[in-house]
Formats: sequence, C-alpha cells, structure tokens
Amino acid sequence: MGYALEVNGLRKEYKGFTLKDVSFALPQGTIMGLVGPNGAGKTTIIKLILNLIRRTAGEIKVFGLDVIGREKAVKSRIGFVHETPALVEDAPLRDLAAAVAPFYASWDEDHFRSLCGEFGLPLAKKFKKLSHGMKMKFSLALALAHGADLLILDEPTSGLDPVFRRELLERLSGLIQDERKAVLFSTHITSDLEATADYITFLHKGEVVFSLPRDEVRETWGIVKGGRELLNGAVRALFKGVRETPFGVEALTADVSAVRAALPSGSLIERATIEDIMVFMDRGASHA
Amino acid sequence: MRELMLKDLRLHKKYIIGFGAGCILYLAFFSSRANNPGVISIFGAFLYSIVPLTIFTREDKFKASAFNLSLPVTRKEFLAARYLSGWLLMLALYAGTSLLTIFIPGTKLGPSAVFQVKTILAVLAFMAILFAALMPLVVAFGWTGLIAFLVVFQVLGIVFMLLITAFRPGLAAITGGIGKAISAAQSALGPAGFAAALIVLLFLLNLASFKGSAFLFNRKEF
Repeated sequence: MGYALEVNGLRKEYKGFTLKDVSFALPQGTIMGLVGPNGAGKTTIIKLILNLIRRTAGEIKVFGLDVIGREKAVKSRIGFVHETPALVEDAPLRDLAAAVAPFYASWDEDHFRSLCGEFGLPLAKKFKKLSHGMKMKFSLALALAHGADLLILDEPTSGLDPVFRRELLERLSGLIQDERKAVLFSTHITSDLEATADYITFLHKGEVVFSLPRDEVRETWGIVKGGRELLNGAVRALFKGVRETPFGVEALTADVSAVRAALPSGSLIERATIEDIMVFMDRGASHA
Repeated sequence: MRELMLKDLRLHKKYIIGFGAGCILYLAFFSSRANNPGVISIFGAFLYSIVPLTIFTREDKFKASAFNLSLPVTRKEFLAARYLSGWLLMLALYAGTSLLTIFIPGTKLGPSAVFQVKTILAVLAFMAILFAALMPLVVAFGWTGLIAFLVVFQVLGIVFMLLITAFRPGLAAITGGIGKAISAAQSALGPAGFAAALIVLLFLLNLASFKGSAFLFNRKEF
C-alpha cells in the first residue's frame, strides 16, 4: 500500500510558535484525523501541505511527489476545504464553479450538480448570502467534483448541523472505499475522530505526540485512577499528565501494559478517549 | 494561465464592466470637450493602471487568495496571469476611451487628434510606469499598498506643485533637459525606431516589475 501523504521533519518557525519536526504518513485508502487543542499547529500543517506558507525545514510528499517541486501535479490531486471558506463573495455559486472547473481535467459537472442538489445549494445565489454551513458544503462540493485523490479538510465539521455532520463523515468513509484515495482532516471535535478516523495524529504545542492507528491508541493510552501514592512510585515516570481530584489521582499514560505491570493487580485503568488525552495533555504540564 | 485569466474575468465581470464603463464614459466625455486632450490622456493612463489593480485587491478583501493558491497553479503562473490580464484590461480601457472620444456627440476631437503616435506613446509610457511600480506594492501589501500609494501620490502632487512655485527656473531646466533628450533620441532613431525602443524599454520595465513581484509573492504567506 502506498502513501497518499508523507511528512518528514517538517518545521515552521513563527514568532512565539514553532512547529517542531513533524513527521507522519497517511496510507492510501485511509482517513487520518489531525487533532489537538487550538494553536497546536493543525492549520499550519495543512497550509504547509498546500504551499500557502513556507516551511523552515522538512519534506512533504503527496503520492510520492514533492509538494514544492511538483506543485501543479500535486494540487491537481488535492481537494481542499478551508475552515472558513473564502471565495469572491459577490459571485454566484454558478460562476464560482465555472471558474474553478477548467483547472481540473477530471472535473465532473454532473457530479457537481448532483452534489449541489443533494446539499441544497442554490447555484444562482451569491456566495456571501450563504451561511457558514452552506459555504462549507459548497467548498466540499467543489473539492469532490474533481474526484480528488487526497481530500484535505480543515475543521470541516465546525458550524455544521449534526445531521449534515454525520452525513459528511459517512461520505468520507465511503470515499476511501476506493483504496487509492485518502482523507486528512483536522478537528478538535473528538467524537468525529472516534467515528471516522483510521489514523490519529495528535498535536500539542507544535509537536506530534503520536501518530497511530486509532485502535492502537485505544490499546496503548489509558487513564489510571487511584490514591495519591500513585505519584510517589516509579510508575510516576509513565504518566503524561496527572489530575488531582477530591477522591485521589487520575493520570494519563501512553503505555497501559507497562503501568499495569508496575501497579498491583486490581488497579483501575480505563481506556482513554481522544478527549481525555487532549484534556490531560493540555493541563498536564501544570498539574503533573 | 488561460484558466486564471478566465477565472478573473468570470468572477469580476460585473465589477470590470461597471467600473470600466464608468471610467471610459468619464474620460471620453472630458477628452471630447478639452482644449488640451493630452492632459486628459495622461490622467486617463493613471486611471487605466488603477482599474486592474483594484480588481486584484478585491480578492484580498474577500480573503480568497488561499483558495486560489490551492488550485493547481504555481505562484509564478498566478502572477503572470495577473500581469497579462492587467495589460489587456488597460489597453481595452484606452481603446474604448479613444473610440468613444471620437464618436461622442459634440466632440471636438477627430481620429487624427486622438490617435497621434506621440499621445499613444505617452499614454503607454505612463500606464507602463505606473503599473510596473504599483504591482509589487499590491502584491506585497494588497489593498493597503494601493491606498498608501494613492495617499503618497497626493502628497507628492502637492510637493511637486510647491516645488514648481519655488524652483520654477530649475525645474524648467530639468523638464527641458528631459524634453531635449527625448527629441535627440527621436532624431537619432527616427520615429519608428524611437517607438520601438520605447516599447522595448517599457516591456523591460514591466519584466523587472514582474521579477520583483514574483520575489515578493513567493515569500508571502496565506
């Protein structure tokens, strides 16, 4: 199985924020969720993939092609949905689609019209008259109409009603039935990931905490619950974050089997959700 | 390139038609009634160069650049299309104004007055210089760059007027010197040679502007 996207040692320095040597790979036929709290670097990575910003170091390949050296070939295979879709506001949807279509040899006008019908998009309406959710749907229709092999969606579900949100996630799952295609989407709505993503790349303060298959995350990450004595033993080194509660201590670990081996049998270890990981990682530095 | 130019035309057609038609009507009317149409032509050159730039800054206003650059195009192609469509639009506006000046009811000017080689070259030179100077500003700073230029241009105009008042003999010597240099070049090259040399010079100026804009555009982040 080939990779739709390979990111190696990617670095981007801003004043006050650095994306630090990010590496991950997205296999074809899979969906990857890019997750992390606000300011973790999700949008920065997406912008780097699309060459919207310049990288300080590292390498990005899409279907084996360098995104800078083979920019046109790469972009012709990408469908992109921005978190706040911005197009020429006073143009009707019909004109926007007609302006975009000639850029893609694989543009399918019938498919586009069918998507617009399905999404309830009025083609005569001006882009500025659409709600955020409708703008998102239109961007999605544009991205899907040219049969993109790699779909990159930046916070696609924010601002969508629950019905369409579920439809979108189902559509993404359907899309990768064609095993050449792949989807990368950023989100901080963790339930979307649990429902859809095959791989999860978790970012925190510009660094990749992990990039793993979803099932592996479920198996290796856990929440340990117990008394305050948990903080004194050698097991303390296995905790990524600790939260003290009125009843004792809760700790996040990335190595459930090691913690299980180090603690007495019968200790309470629960499976960690992505939301747990996000909350613990965010608070971990100050509470651990 | 063709796709990019068509995209701009399609998405900004109402603006181009509205603003362009207004510009042509306004300039043709005043040219047709002016005693010194040369001054109107030069003022027209200024407007012709501004119109395409305002179209480009519209995308800045709508924050549409990120989407545009996610299309399968390189930044160099994107910019080249902007230069080419900018020039086509400027020439169309100039041609439209010139034709309307001849045919507008009550006009004082016939084709021979409007289509003088000297006037055409002067308009082309002003358009080329302004467009070449403004494009890098618009690429780097967008709408803000254009507004800043217009403000600075106003201030420079006032300064120039004051300088004329204060240093009239000196300035007369400078402008006279430039005039003499142009006349000498015309004599040396002949009318056709001079026109060709000027066009080549203006082309090179725009090429340098394109290179400068490309340098700035490649460093711009969206």
